[in-house]
Amino acid sequence: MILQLAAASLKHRKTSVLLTLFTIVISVSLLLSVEYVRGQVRDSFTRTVSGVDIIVGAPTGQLNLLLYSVFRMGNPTQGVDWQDVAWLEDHPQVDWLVPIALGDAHKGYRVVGTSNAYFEHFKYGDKQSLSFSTGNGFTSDRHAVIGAEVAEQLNYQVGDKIVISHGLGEVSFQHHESHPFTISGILNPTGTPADKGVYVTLQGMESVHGSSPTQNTLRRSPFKKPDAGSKAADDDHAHHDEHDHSAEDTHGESLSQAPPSSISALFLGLSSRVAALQVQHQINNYGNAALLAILPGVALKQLWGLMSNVEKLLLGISVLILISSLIGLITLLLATMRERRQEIAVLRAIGAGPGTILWLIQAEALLITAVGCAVSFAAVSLGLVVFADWLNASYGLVVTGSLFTLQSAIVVGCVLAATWVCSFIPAIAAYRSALHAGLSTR
Amino acid sequence: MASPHPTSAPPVIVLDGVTFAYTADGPDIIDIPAWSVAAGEHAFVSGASGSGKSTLLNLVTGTLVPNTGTITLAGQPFSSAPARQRDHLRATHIGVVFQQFNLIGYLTVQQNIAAAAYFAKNKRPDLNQRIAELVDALQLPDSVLQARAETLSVGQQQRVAIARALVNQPEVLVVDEPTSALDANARDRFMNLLIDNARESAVLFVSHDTSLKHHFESHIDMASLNQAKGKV
Repeated sequence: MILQLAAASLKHRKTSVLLTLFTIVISVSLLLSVEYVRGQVRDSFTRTVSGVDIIVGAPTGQLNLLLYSVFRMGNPTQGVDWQDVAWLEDHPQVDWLVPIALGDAHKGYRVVGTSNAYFEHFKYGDKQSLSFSTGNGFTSDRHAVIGAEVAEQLNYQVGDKIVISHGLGEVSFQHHESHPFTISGILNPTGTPADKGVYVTLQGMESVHGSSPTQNTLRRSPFKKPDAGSKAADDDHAHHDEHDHSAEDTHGESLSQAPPSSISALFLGLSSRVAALQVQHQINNYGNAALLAILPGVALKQLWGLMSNVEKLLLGISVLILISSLIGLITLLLATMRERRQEIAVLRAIGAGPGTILWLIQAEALLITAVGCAVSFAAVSLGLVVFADWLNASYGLVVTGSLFTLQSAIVVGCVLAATWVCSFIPAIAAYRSALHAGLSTR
Repeated sequence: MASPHPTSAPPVIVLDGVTFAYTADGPDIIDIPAWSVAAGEHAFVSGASGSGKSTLLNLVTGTLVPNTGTITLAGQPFSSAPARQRDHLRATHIGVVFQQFNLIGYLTVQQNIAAAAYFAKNKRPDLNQRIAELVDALQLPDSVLQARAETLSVGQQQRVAIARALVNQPEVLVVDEPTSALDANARDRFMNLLIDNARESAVLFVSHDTSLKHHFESHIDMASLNQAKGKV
């Protein structure tokens, strides 16, 4: 009956109630959105890279190395010489390594020079491996593998030819049109920056810049350690062996093992993760060259620490907006107290105690907020569905999962609790009015 | 002081040495040494404005408590009971009809009447039937039940107020100047309906209009009932 009374009372004042409801919906939607995006960004961070024990690059900041090697943001200030890679390759604790070379782009998407080892060893999320939706890895230096987003946005299929451009911008005046690449594989979506990558071999990347891989044969060939990622390539090689191999080599149509001059970074996998700190120390103190080794987990935590300040600021702003909405709600209820004195007197006369009057006012406040929360849930859920692609394309935010999470429930619980606390202000005013309300309503 | 109109029925409201002042150092507004209303008695209390009629009703219904003395309702200590218990006793033993603004305008007639049953914790299964019977007895059409109270005429609102006051079959019906907004014909119809439908209850009817006293078994004027010198 109290809820029925409260609902009828609110319906009676629907114009002002709707305006208040509108402000509640906006503030709760903001709060839910911020909380949801915060969770998604945190998930994106933690799922960006896993299974990589150490990232090695030329000396720079820890965050810079992480950003350009994993998030493909920014640029390396200098490269890692291939001779230093050879030293790492020989390190007894190093189980595998994946080279990363950056510098080019294709229609705004970063081109990553690497090897098939990338598709085998790089993991994301809960140690999930990359997988191909169609095609496979490199079987030629003229092959390219593209991430899911690149394929979707540019509508590429396996077999399509692409040209990479010098530099990192969407617009470049230097296209390597004489060295087109053929898409050999498309990766499944991961929700990580891997989806936005165009992957070519190190040798393919070198060749488009006019440096023949064979010029580097003085150096040892990369990856003496078993490179299972090249199994597909090996299989394909077996097939290629049936053809005129020497002619294909001349045109870069096979997978060369010649090393490049330098690379941007290396992902290392250790035979024992316990040795990570020790190996990091050894790399950072390597005498022959200046190298920087970072632990991805530590760097991610530092980066998240920076990001979370912005996120906390957003959360703070949302909370302030919510508070202003609650003040509006209280004002609405307080403003009606004078006109409701007669109503309160009638309720008192028919047996409603002051406590009941207090609860009635609180029920009205809670009803408005509860409806506001429900509408907010629906609006934000709908918004996430409608804007999922846009969020992904514009901000790299992959919208996964439901809004109905424990975090969201906590947010709604806190909003309702705050409403309940704030509603004591008009409720106590009504309580006092009820205490002094006599039978006369004149 | 004995009841001015003693009856053989046991008293349902008893005031004993009741005084009341709105402020601690102000004059007493009410000073009633002794007064009672018997069960089923229909009592008419008349008095001029400022004579303390409304204050008396507030004391009888427990929304005010006396400074001294006691009020007993249906044999139970009323004025000395905790506020929550007074609210409950009022809901279960007393029905109230105001002069005007009797109803909560945005509720339907059904909801207005049911609210009184709710606060009295009246959970009788045939409540809706009881409400329909009351509405019928008060010569209101069934369709009025789902109408919002604010859409009714003044006369209809007064009859709905009687229905609400009687829904819990109270021992006491307190009526405060209900006819002041009605013309002579409407007033007589209202009084007849009220008296007819409140046969099982004691009625404490307060008005300045002494022409209504013939509807009641007993009549007392505030001037003789209230010994206080102060005025409201």
